[in-house]
Amino acid sequence: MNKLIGVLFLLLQLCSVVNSRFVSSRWLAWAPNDYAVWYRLQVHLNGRDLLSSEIQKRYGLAAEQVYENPARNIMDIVQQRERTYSRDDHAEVFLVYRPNGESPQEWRWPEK
Amino acid sequence: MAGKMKPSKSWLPNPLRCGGTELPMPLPLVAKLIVVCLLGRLTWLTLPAPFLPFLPLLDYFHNANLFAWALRGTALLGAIAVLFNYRLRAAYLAIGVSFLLGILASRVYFENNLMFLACVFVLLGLSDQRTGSWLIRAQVILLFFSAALNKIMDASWRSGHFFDFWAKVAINKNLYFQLASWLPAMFLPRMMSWMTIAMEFTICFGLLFRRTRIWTIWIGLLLSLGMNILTERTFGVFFYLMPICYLAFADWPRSTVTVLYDGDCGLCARTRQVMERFDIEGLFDWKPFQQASDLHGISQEALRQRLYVVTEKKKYSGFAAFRIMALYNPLTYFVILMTLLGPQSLYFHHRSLMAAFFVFLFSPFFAPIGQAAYEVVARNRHAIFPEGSCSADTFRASRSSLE
Repeated sequence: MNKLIGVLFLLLQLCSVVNSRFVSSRWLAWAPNDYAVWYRLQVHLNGRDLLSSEIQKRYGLAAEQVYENPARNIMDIVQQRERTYSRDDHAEVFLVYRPNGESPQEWRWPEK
Repeated sequence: MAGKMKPSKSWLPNPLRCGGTELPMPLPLVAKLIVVCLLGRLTWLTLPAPFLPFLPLLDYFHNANLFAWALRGTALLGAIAVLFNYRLRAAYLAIGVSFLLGILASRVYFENNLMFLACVFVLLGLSDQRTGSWLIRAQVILLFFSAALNKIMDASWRSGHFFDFWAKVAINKNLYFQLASWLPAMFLPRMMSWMTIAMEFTICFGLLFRRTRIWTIWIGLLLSLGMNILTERTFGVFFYLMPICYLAFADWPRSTVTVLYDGDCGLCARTRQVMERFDIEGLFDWKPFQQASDLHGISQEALRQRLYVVTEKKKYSGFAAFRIMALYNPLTYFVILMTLLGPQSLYFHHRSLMAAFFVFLFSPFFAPIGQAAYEVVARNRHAIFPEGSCSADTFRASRSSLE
């Protein structure tokens, strides 16, 4: 029985790895340290831009850093925060990022 | 024929003892080494309260310190249980589930190295005498396969752009940048990218087959070492975790290993005393060849010149014998790990040099040096220790008195 559970546990991971090839979300792609994403987060709330320390506290992420996971992870974190704990804040989030040194890209919340 | 090792209950609470438990070696050793890592690096203390969880249900405990401390306490208790060989599989599961729950409780806490650690402990908890190491082996192979696949399918890895950008952020060795400047633009980053991809695919497929395992493990060690040399980073606990998990691919002796030595040699007898003191597992059965009933096809002349170690599958002599005794002694790995666990400042920011030393020491490149040193000592051993061993001398003395 334990062996079966172990096999299923491994197969679950394999399915997640395969699935990650077809979706933008890459949480369990088993791609450790395959990414180097420079990003900067700006959050506009209640008529002002949040300080770096406030952004860190809000999302658990630094306002600017080189992040060693896919940029999609940052967006997922921001979205989840804004949809749950800060649902009534109506914050505007602007993310500029350079995935793996490529050209800068932008993402905004709320998404239009 | 070598005898079976018998577990001794009085030894079980010894934190340095790994054998004689409900799991086959080397799984308990793998688990203990990872636990030492968790405790030494205080990784268990990082387990979080729920914050932006993967599972919305866990938001019920949003920012609850009690949740975090429950996870930490469970992981810590599991770690202590592992150290003292108490209910091992339950302890492994406790640690694994704690880290899995910690990751599920917080997207921000997610890191691949912690996820891997959690998976390894869960699979250790699901292993038994019948499954052996293959669940852990499958986990390691899956990791390397996925990592290599992700890289080869990523255009920025194939082009070298990722490595070029990442190097500027992570690599702290000027030599790399000097070399890059001497070579055509993007040559070195592209070469490093493809070398990494090739090594990871090689590790993934090489570990599948017994014949290629040893060389594949060396490639894996070199990959970890190379990343550490370039960056002086441990990548969370990956730097420790991967080499530890390679142990799961090692064939461990299932019965005592015979060590044949010259009973007339004082140095050999002294060596035996020292080695037996550190043989916590009781794996090695030292016999003066003059009294051994079975010489395993080795001539007495050869045994006068060198010490021999006889395992189920192979015979080792001289320096190779000492190396294999070190490799089969769990204490070796504890010493190496403890040496590498310190903060970076302890090594003047060059932990990689210490790691490189250990890799070199056990590598085939050191073997000729080790063997040459062994030969020098062996040729002069009677001068170093003129007195013969008690067992062989006493045997001859008692025999001559009867005559």
